[in-house]
Amino acid sequence: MVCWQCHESTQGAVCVGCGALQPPPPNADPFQVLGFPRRFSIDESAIEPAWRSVSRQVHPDRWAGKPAVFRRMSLQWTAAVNEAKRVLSDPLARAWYLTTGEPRAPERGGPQPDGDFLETIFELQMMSSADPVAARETVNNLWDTHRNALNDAFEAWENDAGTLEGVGVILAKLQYLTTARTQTGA
Amino acid sequence: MANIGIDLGTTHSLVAVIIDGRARCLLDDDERALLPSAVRYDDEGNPVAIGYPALEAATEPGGTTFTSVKRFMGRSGTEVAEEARLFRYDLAEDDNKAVRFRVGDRDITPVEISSFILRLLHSRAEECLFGRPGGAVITVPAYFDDAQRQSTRDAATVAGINVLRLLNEPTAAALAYGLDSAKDGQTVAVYDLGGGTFDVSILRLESGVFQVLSTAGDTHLGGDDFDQALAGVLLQQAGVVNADGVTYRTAIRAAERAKRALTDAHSAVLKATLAGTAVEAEIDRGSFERLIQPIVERTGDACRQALADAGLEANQIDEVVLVGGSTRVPLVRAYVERLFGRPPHCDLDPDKVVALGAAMQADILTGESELAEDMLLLDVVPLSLGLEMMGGVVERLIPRCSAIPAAQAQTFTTHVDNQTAVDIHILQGERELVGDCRSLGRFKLTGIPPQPAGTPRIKVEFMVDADGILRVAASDVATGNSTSVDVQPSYGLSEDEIETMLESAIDNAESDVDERLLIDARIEAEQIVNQVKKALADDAAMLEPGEQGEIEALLEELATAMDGRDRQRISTLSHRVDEVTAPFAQRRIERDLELAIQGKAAAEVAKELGVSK
Repeated sequence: MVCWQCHESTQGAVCVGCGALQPPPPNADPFQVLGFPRRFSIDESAIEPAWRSVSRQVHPDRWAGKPAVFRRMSLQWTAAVNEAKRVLSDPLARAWYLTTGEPRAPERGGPQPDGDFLETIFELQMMSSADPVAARETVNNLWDTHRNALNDAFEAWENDAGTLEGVGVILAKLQYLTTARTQTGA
Repeated sequence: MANIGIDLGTTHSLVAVIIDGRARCLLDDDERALLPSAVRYDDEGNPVAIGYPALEAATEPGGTTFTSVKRFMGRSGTEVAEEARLFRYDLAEDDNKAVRFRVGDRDITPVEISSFILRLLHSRAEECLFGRPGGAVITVPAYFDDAQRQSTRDAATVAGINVLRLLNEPTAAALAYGLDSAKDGQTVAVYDLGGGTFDVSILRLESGVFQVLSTAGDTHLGGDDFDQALAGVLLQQAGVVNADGVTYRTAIRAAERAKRALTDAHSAVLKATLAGTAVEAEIDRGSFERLIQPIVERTGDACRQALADAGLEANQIDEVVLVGGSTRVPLVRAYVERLFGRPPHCDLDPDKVVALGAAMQADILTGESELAEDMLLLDVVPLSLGLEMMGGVVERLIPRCSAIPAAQAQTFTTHVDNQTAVDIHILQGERELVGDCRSLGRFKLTGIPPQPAGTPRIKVEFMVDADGILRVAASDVATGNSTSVDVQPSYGLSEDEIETMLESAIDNAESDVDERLLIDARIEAEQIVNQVKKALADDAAMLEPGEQGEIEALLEELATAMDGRDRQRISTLSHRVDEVTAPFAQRRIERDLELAIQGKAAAEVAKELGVSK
């Protein structure tokens, strides 16, 4: 990486030579912003420390009283850093980002689970009042199955042994199951 | 130039600064740090006294003393009607706009009243520091919503103060206690029971970073409620049913005295002359505590909410810090100790803690702080921010407790064929339905080409800055048509109103202060003009069509303004120039970056070929 101000080579958010704040990574790629490899399986415990360390460099408090161009970048950077933490910390958001390049699912029109699955969810809702223990168990089993499917899909993809084609639907199902888990107290 | 910290409180306000490496509250001529947040107006609506004199005159006829105006900041007349009745303030005929108090023929806003308090503190600092402070950090309750924060900023603008940052009060308190130097990775609960607001925040301190995990509270809970409960007893004893303003305030002051006495003594005498009758009643601590028990217990709900949001149990809290004069009440201390299972910190004066922390943050923002060079405060949004969707449902874009600054975008579409405009309605709150959330403002995006429903893509972007203040932009992805607003809160003041208040404030201000502000504005404008002119001379080729004309017109306008004496106009135009040239500046940076990369590549190739530059 080369510093936009002093044209010397540098790395990280702040130029090691002249101390200028660098523009945030293109499209604020959350992996790049926090310095993670672009993979689904990441060390989640490393997110917080990375977030803190980048925040220390780019936060507006660090650039108060500096020229407007730095203050503007600092605002963009910090917003990107906070968003990156959100996306990376949530496996579903992380998977969605890797699949689509978008930070969040659209308001509507995204992939939908098949009718059978929706039927199951509907039955779960009925079951949760009649037999809450059984409902919880079913939800947890379904969750584990789909969560494993998600892991498998990404593992294959990361080893160049598969595509992410079915991931959108798995994620939509997991979204339904997240709600169902809250409802059943699972 | 030193920066100052200001605690603009409900009952009193303070100013603090770093002197010889230590935060200190600045004192008035009578060596008092506290300035009562009280401003008195005569019957014609002219301000006549601020602070202690205003408070002392409160019970006299011939005017109105406004206290606790912080409760009215950023609120509508309808919202605070009940509150105003309690304080016996007359509201201007209204409507659903920003609250205005009626005195004589004048309408007075809480922003104006607050600006007098801020101005007095600012000039106190100016005297103590032998010079004008560079800028100020002003604290607000963590629970303050967008409208309330905006109003606080407006008050500072009217007072001619350069606001560096709005800081959440609990964060300031934790900073003042120097809890950052204690062991790493600890969690702190800050319990702040002030005069009119209650806040509880859970903070985590790790490797020099102060992170607010969660915050909860009640903007209508505080020591004033204790006073009101006690005053109620007194009024009942005197047989007063409908107390007028003067009688009521007399009762409140007697209640306050008794409450203070009960902090150390086991009983106190409530004594006042109400509506011509002398009343005296003895109250012991036990009955006082029974009276306020329900009020104190209401703080527990917010504490449990804050803990739940932080994902913690009470026994996982390492430190508890007390803030606010009302935490001197023994019952409150006992309650907090029971709630968190540990004795709270109370070594610092709970009235001063927030101002001291604000001064430390102000010092950090100079960038030359020796105190806490490595300290960073990371705050969160107190309430979710969202948009109205079809069917009156709220779509949350930025959920509560998101770290700030925060930016989020969402794409929407039209619901009717050939729809050419969309209404953007911005809301704050946790509820699902629009009617249950607080409306922050609305604006319209127009000029969408007629298309079938569901075809256009409208991108709405939310940006919350480091002060927690929201800016919203909407654009039509296809045409690039865009419109953006600094959310003018539905219950805030318009730019015009602030302008008018500024003008009248300047009329009253000392002319030398005025002169310096004008000089500062001109210097800032000159710097911006020089930068832009240089950029235009170097890279005119990088301008987009139409951009040059717009920039030059603005520069001309600014040049004219700089010859004049209207400093507000100069700074507004300076900021406008900065804003308009931002995309141009961005392009230049990107170009420089590209050149730098190419230059580097060429240099490397040269090196490989064994040629030196």
